[in-house]
Amino acid sequence: MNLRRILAGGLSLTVLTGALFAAAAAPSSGATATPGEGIMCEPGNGNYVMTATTGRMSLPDGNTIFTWGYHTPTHNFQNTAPVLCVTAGTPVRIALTNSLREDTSLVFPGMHDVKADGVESAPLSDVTGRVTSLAPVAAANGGTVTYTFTPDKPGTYLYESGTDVNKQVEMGLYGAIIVYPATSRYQAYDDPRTAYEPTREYLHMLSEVDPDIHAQIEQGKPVDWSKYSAKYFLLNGRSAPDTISPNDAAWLPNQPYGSMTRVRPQDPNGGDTAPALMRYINVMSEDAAFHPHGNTERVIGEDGAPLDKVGSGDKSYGSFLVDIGPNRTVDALFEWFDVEKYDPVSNPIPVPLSPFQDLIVKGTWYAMSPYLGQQQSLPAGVSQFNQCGEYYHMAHNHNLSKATNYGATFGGQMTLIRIDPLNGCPAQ
Amino acid sequence: MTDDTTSGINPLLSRRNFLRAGVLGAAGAGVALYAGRQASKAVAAPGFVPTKTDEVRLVGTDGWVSMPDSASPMDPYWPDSLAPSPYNMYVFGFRDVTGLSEAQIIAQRGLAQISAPVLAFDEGSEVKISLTNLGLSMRPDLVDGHTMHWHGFNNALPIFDGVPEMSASVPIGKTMVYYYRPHDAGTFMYHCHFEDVEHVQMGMTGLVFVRPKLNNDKVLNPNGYRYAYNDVSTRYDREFPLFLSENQPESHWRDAHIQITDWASFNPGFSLFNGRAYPDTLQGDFNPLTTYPAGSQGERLKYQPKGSVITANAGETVLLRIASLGYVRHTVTIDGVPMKVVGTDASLLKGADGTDSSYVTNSVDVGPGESRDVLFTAPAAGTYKIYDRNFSNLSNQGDGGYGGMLTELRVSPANTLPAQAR
Repeated sequence: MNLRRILAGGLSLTVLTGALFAAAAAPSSGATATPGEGIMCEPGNGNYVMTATTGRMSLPDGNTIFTWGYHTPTHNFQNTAPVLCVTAGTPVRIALTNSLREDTSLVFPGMHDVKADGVESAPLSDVTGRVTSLAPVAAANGGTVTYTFTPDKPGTYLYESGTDVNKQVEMGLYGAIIVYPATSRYQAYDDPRTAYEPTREYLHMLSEVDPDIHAQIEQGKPVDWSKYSAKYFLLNGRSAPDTISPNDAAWLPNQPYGSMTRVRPQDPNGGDTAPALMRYINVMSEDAAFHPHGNTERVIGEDGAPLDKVGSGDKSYGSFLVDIGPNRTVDALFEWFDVEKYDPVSNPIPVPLSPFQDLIVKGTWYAMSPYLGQQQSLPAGVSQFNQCGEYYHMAHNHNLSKATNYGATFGGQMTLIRIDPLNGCPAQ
Repeated sequence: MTDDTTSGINPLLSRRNFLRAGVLGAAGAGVALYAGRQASKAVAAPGFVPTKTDEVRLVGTDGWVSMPDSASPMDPYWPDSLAPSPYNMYVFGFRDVTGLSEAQIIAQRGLAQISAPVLAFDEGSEVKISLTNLGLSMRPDLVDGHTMHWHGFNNALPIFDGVPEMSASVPIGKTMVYYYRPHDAGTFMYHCHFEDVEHVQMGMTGLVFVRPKLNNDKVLNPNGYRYAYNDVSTRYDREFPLFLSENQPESHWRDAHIQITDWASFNPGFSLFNGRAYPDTLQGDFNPLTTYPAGSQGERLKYQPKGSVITANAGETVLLRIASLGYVRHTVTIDGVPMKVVGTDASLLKGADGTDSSYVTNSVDVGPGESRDVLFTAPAAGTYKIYDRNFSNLSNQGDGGYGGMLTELRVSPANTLPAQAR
């Protein structure tokens, strides 16, 4: 682990959280943009100008990887690609310029009547009838193509390359499309039971990188795909612990998207808010088994289809392990209840708690008090990232070989869930 | 969330409907109805008997186990040259030492078992699990901590969640008490979360059952039937654990021989039901504290103490609690026997409006960290194979013969076997 990077992340988090809490504490105020955490939509409102190009991503063990991506004029390069937030029934237009040295294209799984430069976007074939691309291309070295479509079903989708897909998607040509219902921006679907807290919408896009293959492509060497072996495992284009750094962190200039989830306890005696909405996208070629600690999530939709279609009954289900198939999406609701309401005076935890001398405390996110909102001193030499006694839980791929950075534990597809005290953190 | 609700027992009083009714009034406030599993205090179910305190003492340590000797050698990784006879693979693991003296407990250092002891508690009971770290007998150079992570526990506190970076872990020679009040029935798991990719792969993984309060409710359940959840559709006569994991012999050898493993690359050699590979799955249960005759199966398998033969009388309903802490997916099948999946990840497959989402299948899909509660009716007397239809897990190190995740359902004629002890 890169200690300097972790420290930088922690410090920035502390600085940012003070400003952020204003938004978190007043959730009913609506669409307050939260630059630190949560889904970050690309400006454009359905109309995007994007370039496919090459760049580099930074990994927590100090490695830097050659990679590809899409970016808009506001970024030089980014991975993952811009998150496109659109509205059901409203036309979408994406003008793509290709700066790569080979043809590329875009496909939009789950969308229909997609047009490329005004004509139906259909697979291309060579003279023998063999498919060469799943969609009309922007030619290498500066070609352009404009895709248009009108999404009609709310949900979570992805866009990705339709050309030499095995290589181009591995290299980073993929991104998220969020389709909001025309009826309400703060529901997952056209169903009030899928309402979520406006400031608590999160995207977890899972992908992976084989650094050897990226290096071979950078150096123009032949690639033996049968030797594919991913070593880095990404959430929103970052690998843990970078995943908990805020959106647009200055020290990750090409990887703008964080993935830390932040909630406060639900209070059944009043003051309940809507749950957090978790949107999962898996860009890997095998299932992702994503495990949120802290509480079971409720899966409410898959691939842009709600599990409670009107008239068919509620088929949502509880899941402590969110299973996302290759190139599929899952929407789930998350909340955390302070069930036991432990208090050091009035309702103490009914077992003796070990003094820190009898524990290993790596827990820089731990307050040294088990009580929500309480803090005690950490042992000497342990850095404190805890702000005000808030809780942190882990959320990670439970194929634990993918919760690593090149095999080193506490990395990869892993992030944190932050649970603030009910009344928030005092101003710092 | 509460210990006093009656979810699913009476449709009019169910927790979900209670919640739904409460929230319907507030629907205009934009509150979601999919609250699912948590609710406010409701009235106590009549006749509910408060449950006992469950106190368990576990230790974490290392040890040696035995994969089937018939498997092809994988030189030098398996069989491990350091292994004392009759064992052949290095592991980490838990042991249940409840009731032993301190001296006996310390003597269990270096005698880990896989899979971990099956823990079973009643919903609403007070669970106290004391975890002692005995250290690693083969690796005195390591000072690894151990933790108890109750995988899937709802509304967990970080201090009892066992993630070292989010709270604390137990150093060698120390004991920490973990406290839980489980409010949800179902099949959960537990594992050590210290350097998780290593300690889980090395074998510190097992099952936790939470039995619904309906089972103890003298009014709503006067006949003392057993249910998987607080829902009468989940009644069963017998229950069995089927815990899935895989191991990569090279990593185990590297840990024993003070070598570093690239944990990002995983390629299982043995695939296990309850910690054993076929044909060892067919052997009975053994006790790690018993001295078995030299050369016996008991001597060889006592640190993999749980067999996985399923036994029932024809016509009985069997609850199979399937869960996996391996790193790859599995598809469990019983030849010719339809299975009804009534719960996934310790959640009853029933929607907020009562819609039944359970399903009947011949292939139960179980991914890393997932659990499935499966009911089936024991067919006519006879023997039926239970196995993983992902056939790469159906051999020992790919040696051509059958191995790995394969066991048997043995059905006796009706009324032959006595009732299963509770």
